[in-house]
Amino acid sequence: MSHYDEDDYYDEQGDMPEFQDEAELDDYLTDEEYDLMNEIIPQLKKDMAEYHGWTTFDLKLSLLDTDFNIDDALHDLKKRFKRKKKQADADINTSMSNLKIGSNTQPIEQTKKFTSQLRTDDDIIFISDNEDSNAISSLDQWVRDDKVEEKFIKPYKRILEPTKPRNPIDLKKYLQSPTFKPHLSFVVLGHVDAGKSTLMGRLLYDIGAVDQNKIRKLKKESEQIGKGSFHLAWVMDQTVEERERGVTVSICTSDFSTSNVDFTIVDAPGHRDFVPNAIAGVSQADVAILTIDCGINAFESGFNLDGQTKEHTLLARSMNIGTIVVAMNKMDSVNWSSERFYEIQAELSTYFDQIGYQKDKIKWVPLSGYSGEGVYKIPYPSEQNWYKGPSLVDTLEDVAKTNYSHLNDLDSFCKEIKEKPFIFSILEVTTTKKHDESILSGRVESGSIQPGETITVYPSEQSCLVDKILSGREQTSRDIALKGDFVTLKLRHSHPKDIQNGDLCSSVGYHIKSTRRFKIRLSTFNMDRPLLPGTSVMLFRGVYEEPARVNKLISLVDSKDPSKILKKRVKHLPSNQTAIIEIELTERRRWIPLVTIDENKHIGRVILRKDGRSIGTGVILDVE
Amino acid sequence: MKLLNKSSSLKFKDGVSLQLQPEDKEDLFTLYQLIDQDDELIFKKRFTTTVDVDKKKKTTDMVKLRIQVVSREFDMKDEFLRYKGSTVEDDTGKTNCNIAAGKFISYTITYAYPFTLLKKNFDSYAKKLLDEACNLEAKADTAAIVLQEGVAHVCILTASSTILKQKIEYSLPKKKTTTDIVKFDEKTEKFYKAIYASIVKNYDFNKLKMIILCSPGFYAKTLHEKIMQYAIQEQNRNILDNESMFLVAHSSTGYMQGITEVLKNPIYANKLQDTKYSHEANVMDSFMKHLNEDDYKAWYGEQEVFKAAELGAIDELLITDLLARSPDLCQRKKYMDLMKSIESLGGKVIIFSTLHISGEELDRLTGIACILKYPIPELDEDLDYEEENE
Repeated sequence: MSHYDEDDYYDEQGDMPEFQDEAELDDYLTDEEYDLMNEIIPQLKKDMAEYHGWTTFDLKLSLLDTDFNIDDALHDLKKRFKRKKKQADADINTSMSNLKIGSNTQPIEQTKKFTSQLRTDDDIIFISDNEDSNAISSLDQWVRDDKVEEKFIKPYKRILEPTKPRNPIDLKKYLQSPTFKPHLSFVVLGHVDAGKSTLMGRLLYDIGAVDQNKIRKLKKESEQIGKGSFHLAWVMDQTVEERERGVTVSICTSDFSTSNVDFTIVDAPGHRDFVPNAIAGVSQADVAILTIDCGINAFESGFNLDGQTKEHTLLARSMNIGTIVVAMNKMDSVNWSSERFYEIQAELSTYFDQIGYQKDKIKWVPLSGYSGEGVYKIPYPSEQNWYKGPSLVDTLEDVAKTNYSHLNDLDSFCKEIKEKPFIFSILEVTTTKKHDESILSGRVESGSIQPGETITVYPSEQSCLVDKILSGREQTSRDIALKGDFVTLKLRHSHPKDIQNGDLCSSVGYHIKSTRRFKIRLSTFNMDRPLLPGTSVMLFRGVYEEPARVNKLISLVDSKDPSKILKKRVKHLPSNQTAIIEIELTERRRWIPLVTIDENKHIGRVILRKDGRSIGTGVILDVE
Repeated sequence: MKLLNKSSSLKFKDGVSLQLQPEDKEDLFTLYQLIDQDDELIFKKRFTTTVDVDKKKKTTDMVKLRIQVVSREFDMKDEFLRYKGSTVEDDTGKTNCNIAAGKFISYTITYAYPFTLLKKNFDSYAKKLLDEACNLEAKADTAAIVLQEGVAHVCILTASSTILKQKIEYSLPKKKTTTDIVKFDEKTEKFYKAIYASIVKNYDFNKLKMIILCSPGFYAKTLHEKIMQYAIQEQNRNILDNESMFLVAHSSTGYMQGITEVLKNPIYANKLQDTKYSHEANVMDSFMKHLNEDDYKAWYGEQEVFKAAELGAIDELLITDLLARSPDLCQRKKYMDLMKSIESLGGKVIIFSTLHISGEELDRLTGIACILKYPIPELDEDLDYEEENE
């Protein structure tokens, strides 16, 4: 009943009386014919399943025309209606998902009008009003179709056979070789103006990753616009806006090495508006440096109420950052007072304890990012005679060594690397002049990769050849990258336009599911407003930032023992609770690849934010 | 919308015959809400009929047609509303001359020609809709651009819907110590230029009363500066003369949720006046606030709301237009009665448009919710009991 236009008006109906609708036709039939009709119709419907545009009424008419000969009717119908095309399928599914959501479709996404869009929710309601049970069963079929939602990213040819590395590397030998250095990536967090960028600039300068000339040039430039003290931060803050406003906006990655360890720094913004970027930064790191401004009142304003110190720490905790190095910055402004140091330490420790960090996972270093004392080799001034521990860089080296303590047990480590699939999360994708080449920078989440191997990028499901693996400040080529390494992959046979920042890659043979609806176990933080079914939130998974909504509140569980269900019917979800909920992405054409928490401890996590505040952290339980 | 003529219908008891001429997309939306299945439309249309038996000769005439509505197609963005229906018998003989009953015919509503609507069931909701649509004051739209680094949404807010005109997405290079910063600046410049081009293309400055620019950080402010800069370069009088229309606001995200955030922010409230959508956003927020405080004054779900209504405790009823104009007449009557009874007891009824974000949220939330005058902690107790027995 939904497909007709003026042309139908002229359609030949043969010698048949013209029927307006099915009811009329049914009336016209004798009882026998009616029974016969109802016998044949289900079979006919099945045969016509691949065609679109028909209704039960069409089928019945056609049967009547052909004296209930099913083959003739089928022949006739197949001529009249078009076979479903792939595209048409997708379109129907779009409009069907409209249907499922009711009319709450965002007008935004009604880009094209498809013929199938005639079937809006209202049509469906009309059908169920007027037509008999046959029509309703066909409606069921429509709705069922809807469940198989079509992906909108064109899937590419997938290669299922793994390819061999060009120069196979023996993992054990590689780990034992003298050129092997542990790698550690760390993110720099802290309240705005705590001195994160300056500290990083200082670190890079002292280590020799930035040369004297550049610093001199930056100093001159910064003095010109009256921001003389910012020159070290400008190593990281390069855009005009960041420099003029003196605020870091987006994350900045940089590599450097000491004699023992390779490092990747991720400088994150501290301003509350750019927390999304900070989340992206945290997702790339193993360790966090929490920068604290120890100046009078500065720590307090960053720590209390709306300060980002707590939020950042909470985010680090949520994203499974094991160790935190607290850089007690600007100690020179309080004359290296030990009282101030211990006062802040006490207050922070209580908080770390509250959110579940153990004491031995927290390191404390007093320093001054601007003048450089306590960062690398510059010694402390005479006022500081109470701290005898290592400097910031030394502390980081220690942490790296502890993180790689499994190297002592080489065999089991090799076994783990070999058994786990290679998974890579993309921080950034760039294109080159070669049309099939993409450059992916990001983090190896598990397993290992060597040049010559083939990987699949999700959600576009394109299989690409790893041509080169680059790393370090000079982007030198290397033969293998392991779990935890921060590297750049040069891919061939790829379609860079369909790769986005935040996508995942895996080795051939390991499938990552892409979806727009999934279940998470969410632990809520302090919120102003409770979560309800339908509440819109921003979803963060690594670099991805997606508008989403709470689809269903499934059950409330015990925060200490998630398998214990406290309450099944949840009407709203208040602060500081743990619950299992279903999340759906708002944009209908968006699919993201997801890995459950059981598959990977690091990327199986999400963060939810609303109205500029982090409201909860979740682990992905189930991907449909 | 112009109401050209109104007379009580002879055919239907509660019916009315309305001669209407829509004028803009808001009117289309009103019609979309107003016209139900089985209502009848009378309009003129160029129509081809075959004359002789061989069906060779055809004539095309402008004829007056009368159809009974079967289905419709609506797209707010394209300002497209089309009804389909079958011709019905007309006793007066003014319409459907020489055309058999039961022919399917479609009619696309245009701004150029009036048409007559025979509405079967002209209830208070329909009346209110019509009155609002015919009131020409405060019809101007608000434009909103919500952006963040590399992502911008160019939207128009009307009384009834939020329309995304264009989404602009640029992937800006991530910073590295080695990144060529000139490239980054070029791309950023391109991004702002694209937004400017979109504004020029999508916004009709004569119909707008305000343009909200919102973003986290300083993007909105920079955008404002850039827009003015480009406008001066191009000598775009539309923008230069209307500089006062721009409102730079703060939101936490560059996605559509950011707009709702601005709408319910009291700082901007006096500038936004009391527009329908900011009112909706605020009511929704106060509902959430009550829920958060757990003061038993906010409830949602059909059973709960009806029970609260029985007790006469409802202060504000939140209901989606989907429910209020439910195609099921029994349902609709039920909700109509509910709204009437609440209003008679001094309560307020707020009908949410599901084309706005707050309405969309309410729709997910069973579509009906209420804020009570006083707390009733046990409102859902025996309801809970029923469900557990199931």
